[in-house]
Amino acid sequence: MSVHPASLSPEASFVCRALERSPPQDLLPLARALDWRACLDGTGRLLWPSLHHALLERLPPGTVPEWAAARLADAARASALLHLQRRSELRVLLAGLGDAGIPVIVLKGMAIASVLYADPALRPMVDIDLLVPAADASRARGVLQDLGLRVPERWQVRPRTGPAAKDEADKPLERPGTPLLVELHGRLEWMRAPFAYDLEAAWARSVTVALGPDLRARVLSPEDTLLHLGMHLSSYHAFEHGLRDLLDVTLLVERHSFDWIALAAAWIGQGTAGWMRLTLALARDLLGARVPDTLLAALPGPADMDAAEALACERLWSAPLDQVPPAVATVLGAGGPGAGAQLALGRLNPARPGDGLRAALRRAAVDVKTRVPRYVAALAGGHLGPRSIRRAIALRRMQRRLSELMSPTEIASGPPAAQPLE
Amino acid sequence: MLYDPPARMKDTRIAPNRIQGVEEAPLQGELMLYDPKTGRFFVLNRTMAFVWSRCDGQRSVSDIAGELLAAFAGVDEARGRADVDQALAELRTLGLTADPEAVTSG
Repeated sequence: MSVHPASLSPEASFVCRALERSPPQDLLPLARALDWRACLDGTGRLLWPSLHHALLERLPPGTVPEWAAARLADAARASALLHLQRRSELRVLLAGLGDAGIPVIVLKGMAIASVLYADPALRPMVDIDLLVPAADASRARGVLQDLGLRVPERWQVRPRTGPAAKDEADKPLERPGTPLLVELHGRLEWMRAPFAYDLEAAWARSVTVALGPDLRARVLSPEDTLLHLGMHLSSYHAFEHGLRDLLDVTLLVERHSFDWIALAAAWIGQGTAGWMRLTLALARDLLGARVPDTLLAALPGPADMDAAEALACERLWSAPLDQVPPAVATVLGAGGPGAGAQLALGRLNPARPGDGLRAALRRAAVDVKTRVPRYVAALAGGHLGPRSIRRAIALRRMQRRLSELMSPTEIASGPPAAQPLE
Repeated sequence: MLYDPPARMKDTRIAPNRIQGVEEAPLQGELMLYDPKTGRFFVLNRTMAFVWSRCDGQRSVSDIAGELLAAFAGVDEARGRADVDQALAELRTLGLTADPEAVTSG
């Protein structure tokens, strides 16, 4: 199966074509008939700078309604400013880790923004992701804290047990007074059973590139970057970051001449081939990524690939996930009023196993400080209506269904690869 | 009325210098700056960006004005020089250029 943009909503189809760099004569009629509000709401802010750039290049002035053009331009400018701040922070972090003799690989957004995009500001990101050798992770965390980074208050109060628990060593760090989050990894997040990925070999293949003026850093090799981007957006995040991450993959495929035969063999050996096939098929079908048909035919997939692609497609257009507070979708989508009430009470109860009274009170205070404004903003933005909430719950269920469809058992029971790549 | 710079800035031999460590990136005709020491962001228009990019401690005010006039066709000389003076004064006020030194050689 292939997902044809024509089977998408007009807004999704338009965005795909704009990012794919369709000729202006193809885009113009779509743009004139577009529901721009639905387009921007559905796209999600992470894609707005790229969309802004694409529309400036592709459409005559005046085609995009003034208010929409202003929102896109503001997003592009904000992204540019934040990128400068992140780049400055990255210099400090790399210098500090370098002084401590800790090797570091810059991952994801910061690693690819300068390399794949015409302007790094076109690739918004939430945090700076750094990979260090697992053995050095604790020392590296100490270095970052010595440089002034701290665990954000909202993370400090995470309970020690339960679904929201997070190990102290895995909590992100933040430069106080800035929106800069830094995540330090000893391994790649998607690396879990059953995937067999040799991270040491990835370290050996890593390369040094320029990430800005006078800023050189080690990044994963193009092959490992493709795998990491693909697995992170699909297996780990179930396509919830929308088209931005698929655009990363598309640009990387455009930029490098990959040895697809070697990659297919490696992915099959690692157990990552099913997710990579799904990712690359969507990148090809939606954004025109130059992925050979023979590669897709040679990779194993689940028995019901059509259903997996359809779910992934829905999730790609899942910006409402960013707008409905996750707790609302969790509680209301718990699978029945009893389970929902239990979850809600659990969240409201500040005293949890493993916590003292002081920690519980502190968490309650921080919850009020950080969550209430979020709920108010969601309410004011009209994202707490029944329709938005239903959509957010449905998207969560799609995530679970997608994971089931892509399980190793399903992949193993799927049709054999049509033909080996030669 | 054209901008009348302070007496110190009228010395066209001085060579203004950008402060170190400022991150910059162009965006659609503007130049974005971030000064990590102060945590402040700046958005420079075309003229300001042109002047900023030439504040290298080597070019004098007079040099920068000459380059501006050469780069922007049709700009009146008095207007161009006043724009450069004003841009330099603003950059200095914003803390983006260090105290300039007079060019003593070259």
